[in-house]
Amino acid sequence: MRNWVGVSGWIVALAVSGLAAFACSSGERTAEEGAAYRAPRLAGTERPDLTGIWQAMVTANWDIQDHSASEGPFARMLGIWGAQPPGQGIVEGDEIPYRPEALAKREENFKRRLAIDHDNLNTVGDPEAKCYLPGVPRATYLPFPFQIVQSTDRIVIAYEYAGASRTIPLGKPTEPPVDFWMGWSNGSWDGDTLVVDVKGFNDMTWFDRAGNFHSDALHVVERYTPMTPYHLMYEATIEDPKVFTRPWKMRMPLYRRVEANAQLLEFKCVDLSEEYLYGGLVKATQ
Amino acid sequence: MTHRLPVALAIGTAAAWLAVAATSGQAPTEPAADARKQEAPAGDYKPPMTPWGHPDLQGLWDTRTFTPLERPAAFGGREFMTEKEAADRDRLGLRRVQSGDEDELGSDLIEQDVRRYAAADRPDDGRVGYRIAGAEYNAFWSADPTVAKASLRTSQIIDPPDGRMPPLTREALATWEARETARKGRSQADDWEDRGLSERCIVRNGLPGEMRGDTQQPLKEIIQAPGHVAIVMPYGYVRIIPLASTPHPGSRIRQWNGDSRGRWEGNSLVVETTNFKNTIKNVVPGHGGPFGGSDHVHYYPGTGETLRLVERFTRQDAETIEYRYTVEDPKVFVRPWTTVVYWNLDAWSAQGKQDRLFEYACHEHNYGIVNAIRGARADRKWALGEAAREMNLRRKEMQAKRELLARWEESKGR
Repeated sequence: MRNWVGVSGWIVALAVSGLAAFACSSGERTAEEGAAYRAPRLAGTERPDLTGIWQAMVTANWDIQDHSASEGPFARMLGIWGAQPPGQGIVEGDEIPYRPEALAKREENFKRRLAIDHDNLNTVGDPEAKCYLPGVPRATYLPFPFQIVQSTDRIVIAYEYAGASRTIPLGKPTEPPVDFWMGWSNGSWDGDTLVVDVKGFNDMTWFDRAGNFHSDALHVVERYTPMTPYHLMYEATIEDPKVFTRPWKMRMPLYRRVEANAQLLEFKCVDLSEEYLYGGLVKATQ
Repeated sequence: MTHRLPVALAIGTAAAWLAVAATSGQAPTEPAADARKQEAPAGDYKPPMTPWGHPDLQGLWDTRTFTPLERPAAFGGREFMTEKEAADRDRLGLRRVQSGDEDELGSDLIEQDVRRYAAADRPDDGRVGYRIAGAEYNAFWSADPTVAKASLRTSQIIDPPDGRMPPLTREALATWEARETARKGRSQADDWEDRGLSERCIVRNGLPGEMRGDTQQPLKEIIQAPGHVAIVMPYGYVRIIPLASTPHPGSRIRQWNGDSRGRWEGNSLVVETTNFKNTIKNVVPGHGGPFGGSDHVHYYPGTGETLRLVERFTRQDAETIEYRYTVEDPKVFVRPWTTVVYWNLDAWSAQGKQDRLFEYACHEHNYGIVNAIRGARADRKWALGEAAREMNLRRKEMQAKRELLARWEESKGR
């Protein structure tokens, strides 16, 4: 399944991959699977312990739908460093139910994905290229690891990309007081599945480099289900009546980074984005 | 909104909302009398424990302090001030005239409000002048200082015993000189690299400075797991501290906020951090230059590469964590130095009114850099003049540091 070899063979011990492939090819977690695997508990509690460093192995950050290999935007400069790898999508049924007018915006986004407009820095172009906070669910399948640190009444997810993070209280849900790039998360348990309800988004994050987008009416419900010691199943239901005609789902496994020295490193990419963002201002007057 | 604001204030609306949330609902209170006894040793206090048996430091903590980093000369050799001196200090509040490391931008804004307040012919009710009608513009950016508990300590630095930062080394002064030479002839914003790391939304103050809360973002959140302690930092990242003796990454890996390992020593969480980038912002806590919140003007060059930071978190009572750190950087300081401050459980959060820190999202709205570059091009003469003025201020500071080193060397017979 997928192009694991092309992306990275270094995440999961080979011994596990057969089992992982079996588990995620079945899609929904079945009662049998639930019975077959019981995750270790957080010490002193009855909750499964999801603490760990996790990473998706999909090419969905390029395009959450099916996509073939293709030339990148600066092939003359970058060779195949910038080429798009092929990948099968993570969207259920491979269909994103856009409203007709929204579909046009997606095309426009794609055309201008690397455009810089100094008066509209945060609304034109792919936020990822600018080192902006990635939003949810994109943070999950960026080609970077993320870390779950779980306590009794709350969970924090720290993403390597841009130092993004979310605090997820597990108590009484609260309403988002304002809009956020990473949304406002409330967590709860459905058996051994961590369910995270995320609202309170702004309309500036995208789903991928292909220009798939949402509005500030986005509502994401994520499910993280332990499947084996080495992987979780991740599922997100996307609802946004301003952009889509119905809710839709995406799904992918998340693999545990098992290297003995696995840890998040710093990818505070702001200083790596400045030439891209501001270089034109300097050159324009020289 | 950020189009119209100075670069230093180019923060996300979420952060601003937090400031409002933190200022709007809390009644001003005089620091409680018992808060002054924070200096007492932890004694027999038994901290709450996590289900897995670690001392529980979790919660949202107000990490601001009124205590200046270095001991003002007025206190001589005294480690603690009198109650009377503390009362005067509390009345002055955020103006913090004694503070050698105050955020002068914040200070100036507050003073503007204080002046506006005075002009509004309202009676002085003895509280900090900032929290009053007519002060909304600048107060908007700041959490209420009157709710921060105060310590009687006269300086955050407890070692050296004189409460002053040790002199910079010759090597550090030479690095600084080289930086100033390299900046000659540059304007305030010929390009983005002429601006400071915090304006560029790269690092606010760096460690350990960022461990001290400021008026915009007083809070830190601590979340614990059996193998990790996570500290949610207000300026856009999470410090994840493995409770492990595994080695730090190799020395080729350098990070703005270093690489941390933690362990429990009795009831104290001890965190050692290395692998810092070579950046001056790592060594000086919350030090604003003449432009305060702007780190555009630097006073302390650092190497970072030789910095070893050791922090110690100890819960003193239900509402207080003693937070200590020691800076060892033999390339920059002639000797290590240690500070202590007290973190207070955030009352607003403890009342259930806020359950997490808000997102910072600084870079995402940073039109300040765009406008600074455009502005410096629109009037380059002014931008050059300002840069020269700032450089003169830094050179005065550098000269003072040279004299400090000379006196220290003389006292050591070197």
